[in-house]
Amino acid sequence: MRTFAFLVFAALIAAASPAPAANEYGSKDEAVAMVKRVQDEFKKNGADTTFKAVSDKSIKEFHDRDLYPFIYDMTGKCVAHGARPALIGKNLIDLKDQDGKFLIREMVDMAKGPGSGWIEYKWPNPITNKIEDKLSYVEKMGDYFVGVGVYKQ
Amino acid sequence: MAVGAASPASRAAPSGGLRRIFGVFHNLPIKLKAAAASLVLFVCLLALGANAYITSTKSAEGLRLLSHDLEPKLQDISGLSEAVVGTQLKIFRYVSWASNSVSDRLLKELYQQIESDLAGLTRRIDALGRRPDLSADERTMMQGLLARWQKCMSQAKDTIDVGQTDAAMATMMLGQTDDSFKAVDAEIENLAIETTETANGVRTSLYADAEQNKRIIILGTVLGLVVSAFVSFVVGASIVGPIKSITTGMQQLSAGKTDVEIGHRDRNDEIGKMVQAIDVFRRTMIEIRAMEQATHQAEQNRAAERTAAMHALAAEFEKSVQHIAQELSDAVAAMHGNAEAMSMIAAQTRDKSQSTAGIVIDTQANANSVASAAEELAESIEQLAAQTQHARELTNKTVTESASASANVQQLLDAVRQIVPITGLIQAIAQQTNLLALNATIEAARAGAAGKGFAVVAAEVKSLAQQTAKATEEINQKITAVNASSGAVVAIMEQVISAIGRLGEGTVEMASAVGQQAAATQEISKNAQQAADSSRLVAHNIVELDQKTHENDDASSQALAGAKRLLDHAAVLQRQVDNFLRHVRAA
Repeated sequence: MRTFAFLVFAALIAAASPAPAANEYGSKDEAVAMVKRVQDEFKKNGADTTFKAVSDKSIKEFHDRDLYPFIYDMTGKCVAHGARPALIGKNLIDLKDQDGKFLIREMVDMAKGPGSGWIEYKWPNPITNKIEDKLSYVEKMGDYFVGVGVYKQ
Repeated sequence: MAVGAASPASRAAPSGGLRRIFGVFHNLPIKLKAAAASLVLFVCLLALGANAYITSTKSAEGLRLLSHDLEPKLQDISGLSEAVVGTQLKIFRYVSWASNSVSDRLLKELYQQIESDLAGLTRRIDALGRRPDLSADERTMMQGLLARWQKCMSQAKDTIDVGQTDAAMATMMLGQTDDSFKAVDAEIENLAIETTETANGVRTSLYADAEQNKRIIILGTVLGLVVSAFVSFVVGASIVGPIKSITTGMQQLSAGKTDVEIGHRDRNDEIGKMVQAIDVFRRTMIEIRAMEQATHQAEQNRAAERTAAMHALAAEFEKSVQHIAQELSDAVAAMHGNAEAMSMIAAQTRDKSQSTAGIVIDTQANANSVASAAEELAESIEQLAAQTQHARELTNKTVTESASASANVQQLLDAVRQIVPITGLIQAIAQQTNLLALNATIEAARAGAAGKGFAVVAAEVKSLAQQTAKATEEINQKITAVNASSGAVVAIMEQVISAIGRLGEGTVEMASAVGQQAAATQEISKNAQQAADSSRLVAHNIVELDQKTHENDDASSQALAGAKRLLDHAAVLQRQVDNFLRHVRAA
């Protein structure tokens, strides 16, 4: 029920503000909105098309400043990545950030558990190419989960 | 005396169990007993040898395991660990180089090195997993290691792949790579620990085995020594002790102690048989001794009887002989007195014979003959006395010859009596001479002066005739005295004969006991014969007394001396008889 209400709310938000923000860094809302777009794409065109679109940096819908989506399956294997194509096909279930946090494992747990949520960790910023603090929204998507994060300023 | 009563065995066996063991030992042959100690030592040596063999085999196996399996395996594992760490360092270096603008060529070389290392490590891990000497645990661990290694290798490849284009992301991925390598290292470490523990287990087991072996050897040696010492002692006590007591017993037996009691008779071994055999010897000895004692006693009895008989005989003999000798001595003394008297008479006869001239000669000669005969008799008696030892023969003859001696003395008496008519004739002659002298005196008176000288002669003749008559009267008196003396001699001779007869009887008894007496008796008989001869001569000489008046004196004194010697010889005879008796009694 709550999920349903949340989804309706999110859909309303996304519908109300489709234009990208003027700020250098993407916001949390924008991140959530991008997740929803991926979800829509996934529902509309299937997994393969969605993965390609997400990995293709020329598609603006899924690439906005520091915002990009990433899709992993439930084993932790990266199937699509908006910023770092080298990771596609690699299993990163054991990946740890600089604080020793198993971020992929937490994401899998979140997707399998609540289905969505926010996870805080450290990750290289695609713009500065420096490892920064990141807060990502993750959502289950079929056999996968999709996430978009914001870098703390 | 029970030599073996307190045997070593009984002393050394205070408890019933030990006693039973000793009993079993006692009944075993000595050969087995001697073998027992050796057997115990043999068994101990065998056990020690078997233990040494088993332990040595086990030790060799353990050492072989250590040197051929475990140590090489540990070296492999250690080498693998080093190689893994080395590869991990290279991956770190690669990401570091990728992040810090190292040339693409160097990065590519390092990338290829890492790939090669990873492939090499995979081969080494595979090889380690295929080792035939892996334990089940190790095999399981190797499977875990292999799985982790595959994941680690995959992540390592991902990292360097990403690093080729995205150094920042590769840096991100170093954490998980590090984890994977750590996991692999941990697996290798576990494996090393497992293998080390196995090796340590083998070492500990080897050490424990060595310690246990040491204890077993000490225990076995001590046990073997103690048991063999005990068995030696038991065997020794079961042989040496009994043999000692048997030796003591046999020594005492050989020293003549037949009451010795040797123990161990109940045993069934050689010692028991020995003791039984010795006991048979002992009993035989006792029987022999009893027989000897009986024989000895019988001999002693016989000797005592013999001695008693001898003493009785000797006593009897002594009694007779002493009596006889006493009588002989008395007789001889009497004879001596008579001889003296005879000598005196003979001297007087000689004196008278001198005055009666030729008439007396016969008397003198006879007297001489008597003296001579007496001397010879004395000599004979002396010989008789000297030869009394040879009594038997002598006695026989003496008995017969003494009779003839007596007869001779009788003849002497007769001869002396014959002197009486001669003296009568002499008296008649003297009366006629007196008558003639008277006639002559008458005639002379008739003749007157012319006849004065003749008257003187006639008176002388008359006085001579008177003197002759007077002398003849004296001779007659003397002859009467001689007769009386001769009668006494005859009586004495008869006493002598009867004494010699009794002596003969005694001697005959003697002769029955002592054979040697025969010769002496023979000798006495012979002497008696000689005495008889002498007596005959005496008789003859007495007949010739008249002719031998002038020898009368010497003969009388010789008779006297002879009588004295006879006395001496009688004493000698007495002494010799005493000696003889002493010897007989002493025998």
